[in-house]
Amino acid sequence: MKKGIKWHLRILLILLLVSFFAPIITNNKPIYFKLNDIHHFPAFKDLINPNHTIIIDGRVLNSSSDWRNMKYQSVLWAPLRNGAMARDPHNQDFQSPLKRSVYNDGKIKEITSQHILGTDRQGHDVFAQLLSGIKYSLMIGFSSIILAAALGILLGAVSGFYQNVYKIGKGALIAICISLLPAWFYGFSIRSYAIIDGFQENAINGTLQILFSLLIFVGIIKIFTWLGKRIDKAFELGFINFPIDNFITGITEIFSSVPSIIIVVTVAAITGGKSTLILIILLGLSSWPVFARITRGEVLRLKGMPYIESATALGIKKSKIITHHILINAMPTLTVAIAFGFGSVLLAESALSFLNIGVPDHTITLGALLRSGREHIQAWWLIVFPGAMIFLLIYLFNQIGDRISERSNPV
Amino acid sequence: MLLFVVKRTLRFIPILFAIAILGFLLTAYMPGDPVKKNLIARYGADYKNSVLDSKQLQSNIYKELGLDKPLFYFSINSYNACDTLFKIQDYDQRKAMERLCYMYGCWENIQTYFNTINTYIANNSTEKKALINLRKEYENKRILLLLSRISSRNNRQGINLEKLYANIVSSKSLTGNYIPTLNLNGYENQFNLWLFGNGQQRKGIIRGDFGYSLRTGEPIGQFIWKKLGYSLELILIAVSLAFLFAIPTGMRLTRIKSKYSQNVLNILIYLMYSIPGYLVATLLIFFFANTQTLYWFPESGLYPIGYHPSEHSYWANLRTGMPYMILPILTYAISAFAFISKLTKNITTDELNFDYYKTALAKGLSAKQATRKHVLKNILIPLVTLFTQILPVAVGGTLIVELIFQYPGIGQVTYDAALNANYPVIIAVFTISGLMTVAAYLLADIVYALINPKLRH
Repeated sequence: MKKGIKWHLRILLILLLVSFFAPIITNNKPIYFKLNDIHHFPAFKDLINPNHTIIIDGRVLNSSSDWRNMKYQSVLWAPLRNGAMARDPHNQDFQSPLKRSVYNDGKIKEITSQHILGTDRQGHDVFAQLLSGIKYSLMIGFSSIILAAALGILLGAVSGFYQNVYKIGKGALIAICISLLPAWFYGFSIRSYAIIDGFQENAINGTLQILFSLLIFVGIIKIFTWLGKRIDKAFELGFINFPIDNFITGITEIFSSVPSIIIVVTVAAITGGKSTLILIILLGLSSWPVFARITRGEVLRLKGMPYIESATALGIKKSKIITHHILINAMPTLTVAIAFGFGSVLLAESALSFLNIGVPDHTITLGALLRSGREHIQAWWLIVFPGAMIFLLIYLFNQIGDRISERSNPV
Repeated sequence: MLLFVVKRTLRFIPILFAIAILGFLLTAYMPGDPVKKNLIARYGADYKNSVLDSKQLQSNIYKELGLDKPLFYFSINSYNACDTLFKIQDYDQRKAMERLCYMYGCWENIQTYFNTINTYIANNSTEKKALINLRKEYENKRILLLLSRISSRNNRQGINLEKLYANIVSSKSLTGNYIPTLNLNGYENQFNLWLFGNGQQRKGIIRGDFGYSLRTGEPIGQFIWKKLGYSLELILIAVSLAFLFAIPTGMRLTRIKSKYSQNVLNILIYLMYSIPGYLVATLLIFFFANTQTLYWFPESGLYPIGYHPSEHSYWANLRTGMPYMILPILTYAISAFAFISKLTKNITTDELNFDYYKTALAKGLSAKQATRKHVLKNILIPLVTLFTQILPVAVGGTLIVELIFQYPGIGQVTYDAALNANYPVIIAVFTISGLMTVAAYLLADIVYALINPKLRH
C-alpha cells in the first residue's frame, strides 16, 4: 500500500493561501470604501505592506486607527472584522473565545465573543495573528531552505563528483593561493567601514554591501585563476591533485560542529539588532551541511551508473552531466531532505521567537503568540491554537518527507 | 587500535584550529571597548572615583588582555594604515584615528593632531571636556563644530588644532588605501596569547582559560564547567531513559501484525516526534506544575531556596534535585524517545530482509528471540553513533528546555550572556560546543572501530 502525499500538499496549499490572503479574510480595515469620490482598497494594500497609511482629509490612517466609526459613502467589510495589528479596546486582558461576562446595568450578562480564537493582553485578535504567524513562518522557512539547499547541493555535488581526483594546473593552484590575500584585502579589508556603515543603516543595506564584497572577492580569485591557466598553457606545467572532497567535507564538519542555536545567539549578540533578513541567512547558513552530505552521497551512488559513463564517452561537459544527469536523478532524495529541512527550520524559527532571540520585536509569529500564552497560563487559547498550528506544520513536512522517501525506496 | 585513534585525532586538529580562529575573530571584532567593560565588571561602575589609579588599572588590563600586541601572526593592511595602531590604549581614540586614516590617508598629520589634543588634555586645558569629545570624532561636520566651539573660548589652542585638522584634510591622498602591504608580526600576538597563554596571568584556552565574565568579573573557567556538568547530567539521564525504552519499542513495532494497531502506534510516535520541545514543556508545566491543576512538581530551578549544593555530597544533591529535574528530563526524553524508536524501527525493518534472519527463523527461533539475539547486534552501530551525539547536544540542544524550567545549565548561561552582551562567555560557549562536537565525532569513530574491526584498517 503506497501512501500518498496529496492531502498533505492540499492542506499546506490551503494554509499558504489563507495566510497570504489573511488581510482580506480578517481585517479591521474595509476591503473597499468610497470617500470624497475616491475609491480605496486598504485591505488589498495590506497584502503587500501591512504598515501602509492612507491620508484622508489630512488625517493619517493606519492599522490602529478607528476604521469602524468613520462615515463612508459606500463600504465593503471583510468577513471577520479584526486586524492582526489592531487592538480591540473592548476585549483586552485575555478574553476567551467562548463566552464572557459583562456587567451591564448592574446585571451580569453573558455575551458571545467576537473573536473566534480569543484575544491576548493588549486585545489583539488571536485568529488574525495566527494567520500572519503562519505566513511569517512559511516565508522564513522557504527563504532559508532555498539558501541552504542551493549552497549544500552545489558543494555536495562538487565534492561527490570530483572526489579527491580534481586535477588542477600547478600555475592555477599557486595563482589561487596568492589571490586570496588581495581578494581579502580589496573585498573585505578596505571595505570594512562600508559594511559596518551599511549595517548601521539597516540590515538590507549591510547585506547588500557584504554581497558586493563577496562579488569582488570571487571576481579577483577568478581573474587570478584565468591568469594561472594562461601560465599553465604557456609554460606547459604539469597537473597536480587537489583533494577537493576532503576540503569540502572538512568545511562541512566545521559548520555542523557548532549548533545553529548557538550561532544565532552569538550573532544576535554581536549585531545587537534583530532582523528577519539576518535570521534567514543564519538559519540557511546553519542548515546547509545536511544538504551537502546527502547530495554527496547521492552523487557518489549515481556516478558509478553506466549511463553516466556513456554520457562521459559522448563528450558531454562535466557541468552538464552533474546538472542534467546526476542531480535530476538525485531529486527524490533531495526533496526528502528539503521537506525535513523545512520542518527543522520552522521548529528553529518558532523556538527562537518563543525565546525572543533574533526575531524582531513586534513581529507576529507563532512562537511569540505562545510566549504571551506562557506569561498568562490560564489563557489556554494562546497555547492551544498556536501550539497546534506549529505542530501541524512540522507534522505535515515530516510526513511529506517520510512518504516521499518510502515511495522512492520501496522495500 | 592505538594507531587508529591517533590518526583520527590528528584528522580533527585542523577543524579544532578553525573553530579556535573563528572564536578568536569573534572576540577581536566584538563591538565596544573590552578594557572599559572589564574595568566595570571588576571594580564597579564608579571605578573612576575609587581610590585606585584608574589610568594605571586601564593600562594593566590593556596589557593583560594582550591588546598591546598585533592581532595575528601576519596582517594585510593598506599602505596608508598605521601598523602600530594597537599601541594606542584609548579605545575611542584608536577607532577615530583608524577611521581618519581611512578617510584622508597621511598618518603623520593625524598623529600630530591627536598628540596635540592629548598634550592639551594632559596640561589640564580649560576645554578638557570638549577635547575629550574631539578625540572620539571622525566626522568632518562634528569635528568642525567642536573645533569652532573650542576656538571661541580658548583661542590659541583652538586655532592651533584647526590648523592641524585643515592640514589633514588638505593633504588627503587615498591612493595608498588601495595598495596592500603584508606585515609579519612574529609569535608575540593576540591570537597566540589567546590560544596558548603567556605562562603567567593568561593560560590560554588550550588550558581552559576563557578570560573573565563581563558581568561578574569572575573567571569563566570557574563556573562554565560546573554548568556544563548540570546540562550533561540532564541530557545523560534523559537520553539513557529514551534509549532504554525506545530500542525495545522500535523492535517490537516491526513484529506487530495487525495493520490497525500498526497505524495507531505509528501515528502516536509521529505525534511525539513532531511536537516541539517547548510546547511539551509548556503543556507539562500546565498540567503537572500548576496550582490549579496538579501541583506534583516544582516548576523551575534545580534546588529548593536556601539549599547550598556545595555543602552536600553528589548523591545527596542528585536526590534533592530530582523532583526539579523530572519535568525537564521528560520534555527532552519524549522527543528523543520518538526519534530513536522511529530510527530503530526503520533499520530493523531493513535487517529483516537479510538471510541470517531467515536462517534464525528456520532454526526454530521465534521472531522475538531472533530480533533480540541476532538483529540487535547489527543495528547497534547507528544507535551507538546517535548516543555519542549527546555531547554536542548538551550545549545547544538544552537551551530551550533549560530556559523554560529555569534550569541552571549552560543554555541558561548562554542566554543570559546574549542578553547582556557578555561576549567572553558567548565565545567560551561557542568554542566549547565546537570542541564537544569534535569529541563526539572522535568517540563515534572509536566506538565504530571497537564494534566493527574491519574499520580499523
